[in-house]
Amino acid sequence: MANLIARVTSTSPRAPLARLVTSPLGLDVWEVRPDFVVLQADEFQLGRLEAMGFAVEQLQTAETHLSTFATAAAVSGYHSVATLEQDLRRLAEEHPEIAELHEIGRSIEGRPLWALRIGERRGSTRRVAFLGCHHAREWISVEVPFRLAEHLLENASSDPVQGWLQQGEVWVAPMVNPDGHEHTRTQNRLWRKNRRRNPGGSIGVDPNRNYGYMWGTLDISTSSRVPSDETYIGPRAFSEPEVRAVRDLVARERFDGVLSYHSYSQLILFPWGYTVEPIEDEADHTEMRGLAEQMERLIREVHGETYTAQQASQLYLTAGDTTDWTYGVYGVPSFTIELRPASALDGGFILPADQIEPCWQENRPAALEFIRHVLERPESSWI
Amino acid sequence: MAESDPTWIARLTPTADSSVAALLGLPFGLDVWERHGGSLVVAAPESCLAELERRRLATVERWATREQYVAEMERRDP
Repeated sequence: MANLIARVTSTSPRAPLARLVTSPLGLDVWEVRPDFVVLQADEFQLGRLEAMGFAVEQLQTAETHLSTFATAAAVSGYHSVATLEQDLRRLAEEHPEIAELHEIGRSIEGRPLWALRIGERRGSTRRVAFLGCHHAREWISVEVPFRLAEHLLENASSDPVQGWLQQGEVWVAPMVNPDGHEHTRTQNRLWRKNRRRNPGGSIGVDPNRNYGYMWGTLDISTSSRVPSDETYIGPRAFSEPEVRAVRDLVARERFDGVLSYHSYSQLILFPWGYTVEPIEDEADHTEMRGLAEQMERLIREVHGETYTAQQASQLYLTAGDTTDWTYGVYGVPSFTIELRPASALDGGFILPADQIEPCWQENRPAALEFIRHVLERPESSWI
Repeated sequence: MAESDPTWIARLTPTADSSVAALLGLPFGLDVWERHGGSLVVAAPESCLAELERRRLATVERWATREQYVAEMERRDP
């Protein structure tokens, strides 16, 4: 029998509301007001109340109520495609001297892809990029880079941020996959890929398997050639407009370091993902492992959370991901950070909104250290 | 996915003759959520999980269907 939420009133002296609250009907009373009571009850119980002389107005089923409120709670605090654009525009308008919003491309469904450039443009050549939300369901990966942009702009007149923005630029693209993100808000909360219509009727290419370094060299669950699979690599490298937009941005701006946010598992991953072999260049390997471990320490110091630094393939093998490409082609320090939580039982991809702030707080020093490291690096290692 | 083949959130523990690496190497299209030393957490259709069991590649602990999991996690959001 369905549970219902109902408002109960009474004008009958034989059924005073006070009696309702104390009646032995096993009612789940939610709210008691002088002129009505809101309660949860099944159809039989509500029928009994009506027979007793109460007026019963059914509001909704308990299931509808729960899903409405649970969804509202789960969504509040996270950006949508539209609110992200609004907020990025606001940041650019509030800081016109150092921030500029760029449309770097369009998604397969035609949504603009936004990147915020932050810096004083004093002929600087050093640039660092932060990316978010290659995977639609990883909502927290939008919020951390967005808050980073906000933090940099709010602290642009004091060191160390001021110095960094004088000597370099920080680019932040918090939502690489807006079509997928929108789909998670409206249709399927656990959608991962973009919204490409594949031949054969399935939908979606995994944007983080579509980059052109070692693309297509694996055919396994975690880098699949099957279009309906969650990790479908696409028909060819850079087949997806979202990925081409990032490719073109990186090619144009020649970043000296790239950090891409994902969730979940609390990991700091560095190349390679396509092989279990370590990076051949020992200096690069030492630099990236050292920086990953430094970020791990910085994150832990904030709230005690452990984000484990490791080579990406230790999680699982992936070919065609963002950071293999940025390191493999451009030779710059490249990281994937898997944000909160640690496990599916802690929410997995559905991180409660009240975790956004602590997640950002603990990632802030690591992100700033990455900026410092890249912008203050003695010399670029462009290949 | 048809209702007759629901997608589960499940823990896969390789059998003695298998391994986590071997499970990851299968062309089963597993949506891998977590990798641990001795297990994986995945989202996968019932038909896939049943095949893993039939071939004795893994023991499968079905936690919740995708829909149940989403509802449960969203309910936990304060």
